[in-house]
Order: sequence, then structure tokens, then C-alpha cells
Amino acid sequence: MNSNDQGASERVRSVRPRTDVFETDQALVLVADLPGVDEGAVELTLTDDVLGLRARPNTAAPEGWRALGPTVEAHEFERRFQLATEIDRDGIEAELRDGRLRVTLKKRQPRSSTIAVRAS
Amino acid sequence: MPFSTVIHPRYLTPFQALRSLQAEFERAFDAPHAVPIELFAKDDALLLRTALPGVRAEDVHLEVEGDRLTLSGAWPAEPDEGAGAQHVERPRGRFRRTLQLPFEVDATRVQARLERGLLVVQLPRSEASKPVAIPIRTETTQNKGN
Repeated sequence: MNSNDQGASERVRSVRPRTDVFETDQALVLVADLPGVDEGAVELTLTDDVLGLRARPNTAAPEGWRALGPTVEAHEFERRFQLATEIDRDGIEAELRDGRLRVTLKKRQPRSSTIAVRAS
Repeated sequence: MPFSTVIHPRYLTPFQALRSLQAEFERAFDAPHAVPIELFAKDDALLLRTALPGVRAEDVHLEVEGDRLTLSGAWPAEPDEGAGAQHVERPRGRFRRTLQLPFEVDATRVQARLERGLLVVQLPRSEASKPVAIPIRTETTQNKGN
């Protein structure tokens, strides 16, 4: 059971971040929109063939200002992706820039070796 | 939104993805997306905040005229567009929103910055639109020959 680092245990709404998935011969690329998220606030995990993403954006209203109209409710980004391809677990790169997370998962290249056939 | 709010984590088949990608592009050339905007105020300024992940400064245009603000722009094309798109959800194409502000702002002193995929714009109230305290003359002040 995790305890909330911030101390205050508020339940926040879970939101699935909009994500594009691209595939090349070499890799799977996931691009997820995580507006308001700091680099340190992204949790990316790979368990078997499931990629888990969790990130908490800073949605606080700016200090000293009063809201005119609806504001963004506090929420947490959460999503799991079932990977249909074999991934090289050492070949995963993730970059967060401009509120956009790009995860590159290199595919596990098939190992082929030539087998010598001996005549008997 | 072109896609339903129920988003399946599994991948679409390549053919399904292509068809919905086609529809997405077609829609992108039609009406621009209306992005949600948060608006905050102080007595002498407004603050606007909107989520535009992946957008660069040169992709965004802000136009201010008196008490009307227009935010427009486009999401940049992905470098991966050529690669096989398995699943497409993120918005593409143009966005545009016009807001009626509660008071006039000084267009020359607007400050805008992009950080963490959020566009934050501070708009100071224009001098002309600031409420002016009107002094009330009484008989005594008149006698002072003011």
C-alpha cells in the first residue's frame, strides 16, 4: 500500500492521457500528452508485457488569482498499455518535453544463427 | 472529439487505424479545435491558462483587441507520421478560441510563456479601463479655489 508522499491523502480523478502509438520495424513509439506534468512526476514501469504510466500534473490555480469560470479539476494521469510485440527491456527510452512524453521501446530483434549441418 | 471517450488500451488493427487516421485528417482540415481555457483575474490583470502539449511558441498566435482575445494555432506535425500509426488519439490540425474578457487589456504589456505544455498568458488591465475614483467636491474644497 503506497502512502502519498505529499501527506494529504486526497483522492484525485484518474484520467487516461491521450496517446498515439506508432510502430516501425525497430521500435514501438508511444507519445502521450501530459500537460502540466514535471519531469520528476512521471512514473513509467514495465511489468511483463504491460507498460504502466502514471503522472501527476500541477493543476493548482495560480496564487492570488480568482477563477472566472470553470477550472481544471485536480487529476492524475494513469494508463496501461498491453504491448503486442516483444520488447528489448534494455532498449527503452523516455523523454518528457513540453508536456509530451515520448517512449521508444526497441523491439527484441529475433536472434538468428546459422546452424551447421553435419553429414553423418 | 473524433474518438469516443472510451479508449481501449489494445491496438487497433492497421486497417482500422488507417481509416480513423484518414477521418482524423479530414476533420483537421475542417473546423479548428476549440481548446478549453481557464481564466483567472485580479483587480488589474487577467491570467489565461490552456493545455497545448507539444506546441512550440511559433505555433501559437495570440491576438488582443480591447476586451477580446483570440488564441489560435496548430499542433506541429509529428515526425513519426510516416511510421505505421497503430493508434491515434492526440489532437492534430488547428485550434482556435475567441474569448470575451471582463475588461479591456493593454495589448502592449501582455506576457505569455509556454511551460510543461501549458500556455500561461498574463494580461494587464488597460489604463483606460481602470476604475477611477472620482473626488466629490464639497463646499469647503470649492472655497480653496481648487
